Amino acid sequence: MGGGENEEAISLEEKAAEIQIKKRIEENKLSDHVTMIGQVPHDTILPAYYRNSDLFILASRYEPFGLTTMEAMACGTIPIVSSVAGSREIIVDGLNGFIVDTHDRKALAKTIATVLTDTKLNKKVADNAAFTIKEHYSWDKNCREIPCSLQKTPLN
Amino acid sequence: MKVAILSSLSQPTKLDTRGGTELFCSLLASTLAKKGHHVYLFATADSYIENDLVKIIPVNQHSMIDVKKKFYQSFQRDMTADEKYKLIASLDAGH
Repeated sequence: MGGGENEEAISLEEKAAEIQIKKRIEENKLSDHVTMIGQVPHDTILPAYYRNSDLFILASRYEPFGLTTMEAMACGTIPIVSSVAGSREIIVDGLNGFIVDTHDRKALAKTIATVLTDTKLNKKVADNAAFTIKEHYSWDKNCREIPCSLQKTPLN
Repeated sequence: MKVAILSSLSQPTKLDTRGGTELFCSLLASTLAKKGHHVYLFATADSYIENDLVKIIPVNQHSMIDVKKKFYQSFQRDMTADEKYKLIASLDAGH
């Protein structure tokens, strides 16, 4: 969702996938329920989208990390991430987000339903998500610790 | 400290990029430069960092292989020589 506004940056594969998704939305008569917002400016508008969302869902079948998980958490949005995503490392399931089996779509649906209906849990996890990023993953802290950590790493 | 950051080449490394790794490298480069490190960013030619202290070294998929070979060899030869990078962060996670 994030990123620039440069349409040229979209690959042909992505364009084809977008057309396919839109087609499936129409086929299932979900046009009134699904909005494709496209790319929005990262620094200005994207945080507002995160803050106005109840959930952030990263259902990827392949995801080296998924920086978007941290962006969402920083905005206090509850993350539900796929078990293959690298960003699962920063989530304690049920405490500051949720991790679901990549291939278990029913479990994903169940987790979404639970989180949306349990307002007490909802509030606790959202607060914990924001706290996790603020306390442990701020840029300042990262940029202080990364050089130190890499220097300590044996190279051979 | 002299730092080399090897970014992903899927997208340009800049703030309004669409790639997470590229965005991370962009912010890491500018923040480390602000903290006084000498940062050399190996990224696509159309990359852009607002901080002038970050030197962008344009690479493509082919030349990145040579860059990586050179870095690993230079690490093995002599890590402490002044002309060498003291720290190399390769963040090309997905490829």
